Amino acid sequence: MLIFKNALLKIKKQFGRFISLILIVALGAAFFAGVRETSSDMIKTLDDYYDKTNLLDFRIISTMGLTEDDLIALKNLNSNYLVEANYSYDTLINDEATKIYGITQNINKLELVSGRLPEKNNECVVLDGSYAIGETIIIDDNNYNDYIKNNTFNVVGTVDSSMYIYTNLGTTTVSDGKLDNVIFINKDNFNLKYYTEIYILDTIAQEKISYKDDYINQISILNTELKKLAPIQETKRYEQIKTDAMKKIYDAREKIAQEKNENEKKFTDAKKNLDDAQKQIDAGYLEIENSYKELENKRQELENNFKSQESSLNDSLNTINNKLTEINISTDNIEISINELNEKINEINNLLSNIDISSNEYLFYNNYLNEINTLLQNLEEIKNGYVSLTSSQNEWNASYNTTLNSLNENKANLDQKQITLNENYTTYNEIYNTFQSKLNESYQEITDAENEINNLEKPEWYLFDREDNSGYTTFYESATKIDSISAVFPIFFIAVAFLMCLNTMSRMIEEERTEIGIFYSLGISKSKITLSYVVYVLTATLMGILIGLAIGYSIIPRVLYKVYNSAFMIPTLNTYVNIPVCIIIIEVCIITMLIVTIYAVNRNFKEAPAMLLRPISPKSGHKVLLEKINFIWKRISFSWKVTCRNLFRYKKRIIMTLIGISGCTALLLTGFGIKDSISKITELQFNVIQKYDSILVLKNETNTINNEINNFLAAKNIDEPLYAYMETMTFYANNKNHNVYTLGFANTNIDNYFNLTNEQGEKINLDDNGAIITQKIAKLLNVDIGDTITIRDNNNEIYVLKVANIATNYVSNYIYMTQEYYELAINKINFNVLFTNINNTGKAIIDSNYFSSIQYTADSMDMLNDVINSMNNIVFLIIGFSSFLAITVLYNLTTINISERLREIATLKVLGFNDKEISMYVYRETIILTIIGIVLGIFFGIGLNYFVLTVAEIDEIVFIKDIQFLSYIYTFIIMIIFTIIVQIITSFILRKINMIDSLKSVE
Amino acid sequence: MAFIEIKNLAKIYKMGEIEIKAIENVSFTIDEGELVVILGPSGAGKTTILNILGGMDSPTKGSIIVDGIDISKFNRKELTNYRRYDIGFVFQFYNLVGNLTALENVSLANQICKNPRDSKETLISVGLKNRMEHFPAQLSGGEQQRVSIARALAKNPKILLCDEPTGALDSKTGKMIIKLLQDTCHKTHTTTIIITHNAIISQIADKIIKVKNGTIESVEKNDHPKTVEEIDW
Repeated sequence: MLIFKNALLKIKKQFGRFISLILIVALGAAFFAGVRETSSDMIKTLDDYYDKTNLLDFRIISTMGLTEDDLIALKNLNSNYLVEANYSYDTLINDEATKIYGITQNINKLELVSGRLPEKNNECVVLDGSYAIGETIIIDDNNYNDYIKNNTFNVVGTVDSSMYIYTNLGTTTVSDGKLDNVIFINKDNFNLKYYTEIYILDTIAQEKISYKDDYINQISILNTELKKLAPIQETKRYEQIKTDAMKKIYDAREKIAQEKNENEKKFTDAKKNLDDAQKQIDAGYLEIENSYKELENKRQELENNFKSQESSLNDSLNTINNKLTEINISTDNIEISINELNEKINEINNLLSNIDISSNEYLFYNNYLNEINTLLQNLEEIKNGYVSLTSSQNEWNASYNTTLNSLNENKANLDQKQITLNENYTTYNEIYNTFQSKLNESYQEITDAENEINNLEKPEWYLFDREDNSGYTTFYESATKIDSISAVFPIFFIAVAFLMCLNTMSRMIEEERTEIGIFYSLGISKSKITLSYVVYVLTATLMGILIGLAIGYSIIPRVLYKVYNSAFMIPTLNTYVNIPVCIIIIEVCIITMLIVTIYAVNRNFKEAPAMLLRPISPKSGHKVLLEKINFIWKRISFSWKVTCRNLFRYKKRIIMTLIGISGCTALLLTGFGIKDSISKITELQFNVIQKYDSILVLKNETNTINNEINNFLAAKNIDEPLYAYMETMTFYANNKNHNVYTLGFANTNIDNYFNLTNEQGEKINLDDNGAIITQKIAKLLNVDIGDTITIRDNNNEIYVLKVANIATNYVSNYIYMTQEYYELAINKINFNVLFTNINNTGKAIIDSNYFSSIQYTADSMDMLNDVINSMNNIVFLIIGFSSFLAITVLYNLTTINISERLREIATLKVLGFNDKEISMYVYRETIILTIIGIVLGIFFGIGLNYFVLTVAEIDEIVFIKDIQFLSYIYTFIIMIIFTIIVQIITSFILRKINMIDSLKSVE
Repeated sequence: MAFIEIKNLAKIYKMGEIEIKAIENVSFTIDEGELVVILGPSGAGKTTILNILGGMDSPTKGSIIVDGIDISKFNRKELTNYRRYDIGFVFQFYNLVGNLTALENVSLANQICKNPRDSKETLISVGLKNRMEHFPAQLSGGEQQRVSIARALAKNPKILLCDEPTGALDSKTGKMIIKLLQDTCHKTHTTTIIITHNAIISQIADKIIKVKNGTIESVEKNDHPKTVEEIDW
């Protein structure tokens, strides 16, 4: 009971000291536990998230898609495996590379953030933070139908996916290779005949903590099984594809042959019919031709006939006419001649009637009359001959015309028939040609297919595990970065805290030497005396640890986790109390405190009780080294001389003070140093090294500098754009792939847009003999100028580059090359980007149709600044804790300093020193020690900062390890301010020191 | 008028409801250059008187006039100046600063004074000519007390207050210290007040003030003070 009372009294007596002891322990424990626990909390939180959403262990894709058979084979591997097939389609939406996934039920389950899941085929959900509910998404690709049923989707919900926890979504096969967005639609919305991917999840591995060895070992079993299964399924699929194709070709060929046979007979028959018709027509023509000839012949014969008849008639007529002329008969017309003859006959008859019949005259006239009658008779005959000829001619002519008309009509008929037939021939030819070309086409197709089959490569399975998910791995690296900081920082912290406790306790026991002596001489056992101190220490330590652990486990992980919320889409942190670590911390603290206390107390028991009652014989003063340097010593004022003497009086105290102050200074400086290292990065990277304001992405790649574009840009006051080809590739170092941007420039001189310098800050230039790589690549691959490096592109093609120079760079990795060297070492290139100084005329640029997009440097800066600003949380935590520790340590040290010299100070008061002089008497030492401590601490800080930053470096970012001048100033000022604050507090303590104490005997 | 005039001095400590009277109705006077011994047993109240006289404490009641100035109503700062310029204090346990040499210990005091005496001369005057560069731990008790006296004297104080100056010393050394105080008092005419429970010492005083139970028992003027050699422990 007495012991506890005594301990309680001790607490009461120097409450400030007790509180500072608690605070120091609390700070150390909080920082140690909190910072250490953060990464494991983060990993556990993420593991819970992965378990809840059933994040896949392996994703299998195949060069030829996957089948139901593959799915069954995988399901048959083990009943512990969850297997699910899915479809995906990489395409462009608003020029953004987008991956469209089917929504899976069992693996990679989505976490709905807002809205609902799609019900119809024209609905989709998107990753939270991309599109908004209600927006409509339209696929740019016109051939979307090969993959999915429709190209327009309404956003009905936003989701989180454990596959996509990082703002960097990974790679894709479209656009520039960087995936910009992911959307999810119903599985049955896909048009694909085969699955694009199969997910597999080992439920036993799921029970292990992700990232940890247990998990990795468990899935390596699955990995082995999959690797065994892959060739089997690959061959199966290959054979199946081949057989299917061959059978198809065979069927096609058979069908073609059959069709050919059938159609050819049809065509022959048709041709024959056409030819027969032609023959008939030809015969008809011939017949008609003959009839024409016959008719003509007849016509000529008859006409000759008529002509001869006419000429013989004419001859007879002429003969008669001559006779008629002799008897004065007109010969102009036969009818007139006949009439005249008849008149003559009548005349003669009249004459004869008057003349005797036997007269000569009569006889004469009678003979004459006979003669004329004969003439008349002949003439009548000729006249009839003419009439008969004319009627015969007329009759012929009528018959001729009839016959001719009939013939012409027949010919016209034939002509019509010929035209129709000709048309039929044309139609026939057309059909026949079409048929023939179709046949040829089919033959070609078959031949092509055959070639294809002959060249068919075996399908290949690609296995992707979680490590291939950039979000999964980046998160782990980020989380373990805290571990790497926590490996150094808290230990440093704990060390300072521990030393301070040790100092406090040993001092306290020294002060209470007489009390110990009294108890001891009163016969109270050593253990009981020791116990009272142990109780005191344990109370302080336990309270400190408990407060520290409470803060450490609840606040610190949350503060640090905030940093990661900006770059990752991750659930709220679950904090855990790590009982074993708590126990270890408590055990270690208690055991060390016990050892220190018991040792310090027991040191006193070595002396006899009587000796203990006497004061420790005072240590003899020393002259300090400085006194031997007379010319300096003479110039120092008396009070400073006293200070110098005092300073070196207790070496232990100096060391303790220096360790405490320099430790806190180092911690503070490191805090500022980390801030410097990250805050300058943006400025240096985007204003000093990469000076361009934007990158224009060309719509159509060009292999020459395009004057049209240049003129267009010149009209917008943008001169000399830098043409380049840019691609994302990877290099392999430290067991993982790192991204690198490869650039091939049209010009050797890129000074307008890039300022490349080497480590010494000297400018370096591009040439055609090699590539300039950035420092991180050189560091990771451990190469120097003149060495070669290996990089690979998206198609896993490997290229070897010669390192011409190494450039200072802080964010991402770049390889700079001239066009010539790029084409020599990698591939022929077409320029796809332009580096310019455009910073605000974007709309007009995009409207020009030359460019598909603009990447503004300012945007990149903003993004980086977001990350950096959030990183400041760690810095503030460190600075805050260090400051708090610093102030506690300073307070602790000063109070110890005072309590050690209580009597001396009281004496000085009696001697008439005023408050200021007394304070200064104490402060001068503190100030000198503080300044020395700060200077030492700054040196420690530079080293600590370098160490912490080296250990904590993130892959994508190079930290600047130089501490800014201002940070030294800040650290110095903060430490001085703390010193002043502590001095103000202690000045009150000094005022309260009672002069009467100086009259007491020495304890 | 006397150099120091104390009237109806009282110091009452309040502990809750209870009032503890450390001293009450204390009145006496001391002339300039007098060697006064305040004599009394432990707990009689002599230390309280010393504290008030030394400017380390203020009385609850009464006045204390030193060289015509009432110091009983002095504030903290005035008291500091009073101690600084008017009082030289000799401690029972010497209270030397351990890591300063004898000379430096003396210098420590006289650097804050208006008209200090020379430190070395003061040390020589107390007989420590050859010990000036020694640290307290290297000096004997008597020597340490001499340094303490030298420190007090170097300030050239109006009053030299000595709290049981021989309390921690053997009789021989004690005698030497008393002799030093007496000689100094006579030589420098510094008003010297020695507080002690040792009645023998009072024989050398010009005035003996006996304290008992918080009040003054008697104030005796000693017209024939003995020299140190004459007294016997």
